[in-house]
Amino acid sequence: MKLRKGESLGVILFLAPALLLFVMFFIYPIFNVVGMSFFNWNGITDPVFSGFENYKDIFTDKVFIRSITNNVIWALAACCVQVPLALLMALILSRKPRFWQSFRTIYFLPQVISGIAIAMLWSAVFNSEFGMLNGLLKMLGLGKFATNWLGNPKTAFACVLIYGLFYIGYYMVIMMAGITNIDESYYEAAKVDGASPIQTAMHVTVPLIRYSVHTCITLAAIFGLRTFEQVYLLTNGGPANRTSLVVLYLYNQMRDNNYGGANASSVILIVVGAIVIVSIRKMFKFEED
Amino acid sequence: MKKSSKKLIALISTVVLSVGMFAGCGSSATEETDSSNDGTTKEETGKTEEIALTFPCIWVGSDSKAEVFGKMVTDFNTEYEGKYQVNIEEQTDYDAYEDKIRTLISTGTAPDIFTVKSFADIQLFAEAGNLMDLSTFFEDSAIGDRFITGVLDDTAIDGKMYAMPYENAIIPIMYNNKLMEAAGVTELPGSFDELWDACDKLKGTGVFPLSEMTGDNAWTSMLWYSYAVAACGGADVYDKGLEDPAFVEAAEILRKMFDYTSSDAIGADATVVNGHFFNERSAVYTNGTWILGRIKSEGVAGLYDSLALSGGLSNDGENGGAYLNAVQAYICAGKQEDPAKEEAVQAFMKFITEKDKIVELTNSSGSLFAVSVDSTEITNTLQAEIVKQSADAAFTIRNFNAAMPTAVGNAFPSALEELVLDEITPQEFVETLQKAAE
Repeated sequence: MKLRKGESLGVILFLAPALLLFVMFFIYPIFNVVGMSFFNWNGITDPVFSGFENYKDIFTDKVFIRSITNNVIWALAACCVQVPLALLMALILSRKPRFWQSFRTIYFLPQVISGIAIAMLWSAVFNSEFGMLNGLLKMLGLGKFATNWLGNPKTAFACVLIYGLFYIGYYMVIMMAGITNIDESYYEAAKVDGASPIQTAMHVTVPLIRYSVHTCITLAAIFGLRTFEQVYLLTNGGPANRTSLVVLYLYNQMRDNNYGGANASSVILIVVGAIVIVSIRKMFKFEED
Repeated sequence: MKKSSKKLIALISTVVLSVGMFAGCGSSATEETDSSNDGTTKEETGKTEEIALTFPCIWVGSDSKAEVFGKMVTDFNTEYEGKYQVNIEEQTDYDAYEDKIRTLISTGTAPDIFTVKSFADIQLFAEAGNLMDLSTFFEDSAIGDRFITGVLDDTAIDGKMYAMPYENAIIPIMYNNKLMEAAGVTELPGSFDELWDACDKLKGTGVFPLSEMTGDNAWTSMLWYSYAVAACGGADVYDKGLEDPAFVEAAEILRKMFDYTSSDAIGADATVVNGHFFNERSAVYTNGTWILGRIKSEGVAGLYDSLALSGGLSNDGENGGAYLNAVQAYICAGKQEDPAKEEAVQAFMKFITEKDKIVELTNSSGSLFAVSVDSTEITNTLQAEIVKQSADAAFTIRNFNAAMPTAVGNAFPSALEELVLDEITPQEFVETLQKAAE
């Protein structure tokens, strides 16, 4: 829709306050982060220009490499496991089986419970001395598999990842909303053609909610890249940095008063995030209106 | 409605909204300017000006020192009524408080009085030139003699004093005597070799001999490492730097300690470690005196009464009997332009380090302080014993985190995990810490 002459001023004035705040609190900090990433700064004394020194330091730091690798794995797992799982649940629950509303609430519950409370719960589940998981293994006669799940380098990352993957409720609700909007006539046509429920789901429902799926995959990838809370609370990046993530890495840089390094890792995270979003968008190849 | 009227309404609405949004910021900024007034707040009281000092304070709310320390501030304000006034700004979130202090220091608006727990931070703040130089204050022997031996020397930066050591952490090794006797250990170990023997016996009875952790800041294991460093390197080991072989030797001892601890030690935090000792699942533990109250209230029945305490262990017959003794909180002052305000700060520091006040604070809170007190004046017998043992110790030494830059302390837990998982050698463990120190 084209604006009539004279209406532009009103639009600009209405947009101005929000734009001003957005520039102040998002755009300016991003430029500031990029600028400060070329300085050595302890947060107290004057910053000293150091060129690409901070980038060189973090790219030669094995902990950063491990952190970014973990982030990519996390984002991939979120896109390839969490979203399909949420889609599956959405497809099942949208058929409104018995107690579907209760199941929808149960799956959404982790989203509304404090992350700290859930982390404490999982921490107790994985504890090697009195944890529920080891207790269960011993009860089943599989005591030889009992281990310090969060302290064992072979199992720690998988444990925090599995815990993260349980957050499917958010994506499930988005996709259920998409399914609700599908016109009933598509299903009637599929029924007339003799399509099975699985065929209907695969060839009618999923293609028609591709925008919702795209949104969920984008969100899952972004959340995967910026995850912090779960790992910080469960393992704090341990054992031996096996579960470290980029946000945790930059948090630790700040704790060490290395604000230049923290800014440089933030810039890398922003770049990786932008690449991921553009890639996902290209993958789906939507026709722009 | 005409088009021009719509435009006018749109314009007015936008302006009103924008002004409304910034009105809050504007008014608070004005208020702030009025009250802070170039960092010097003076209130007119009759003919003389009362000097008001701002003190963002963490010893408030449910903190064990809150009641008595609050009373001390009130007493100071009463004694110096019309002359000085200390205004406490309650800070209950320590992390937020630390951020606030750092921000204020970096913007050159340090509070008049504030506390800092890390000596490394004080060095940083002093480098920025925003701390008050307290050297002349401590040159007065009436003040300097109040403090325990050596603590003022440890606080000096290039011969100058930028902070007053206040709360002190004295850390003994704690043994559960009941578990030790049940395992046939009748005497407290005096050396690491004797500790290993005791551990073997304790292990045989089904308890974890030692409490260890790598989670959070690996506090308990860091303390064990500090004791091992003291035993391997002696009193002046930190002066020699991380290049000293004592740090590698101590890492070997620490690695061996993990053979005698619980299976959840890797990743365990203070809750887990405390839980093991409080519930008699582990027999030997190390922590500061502040934990005694919790052992009494949360430990299994009889645990508190069966506690035995000792200082450090010897290694190859040397350097036994050390005691970990480090400042837990310093009191600093922002740099002042007004000499009268400097005097006010010094009067407050003098007031809160009076011996009788420190004794009252010690007895009420369970904490210990850098001001020297007679152990017979401490009502808690275990706390008094710790103070006495520390005073009689062969030597006292700071814990590793207190003696090292912040980055080294932060690198310690993950380096320890690599050491315990045998991914790195003790030599590489120390090299990791050296790298963090750079």
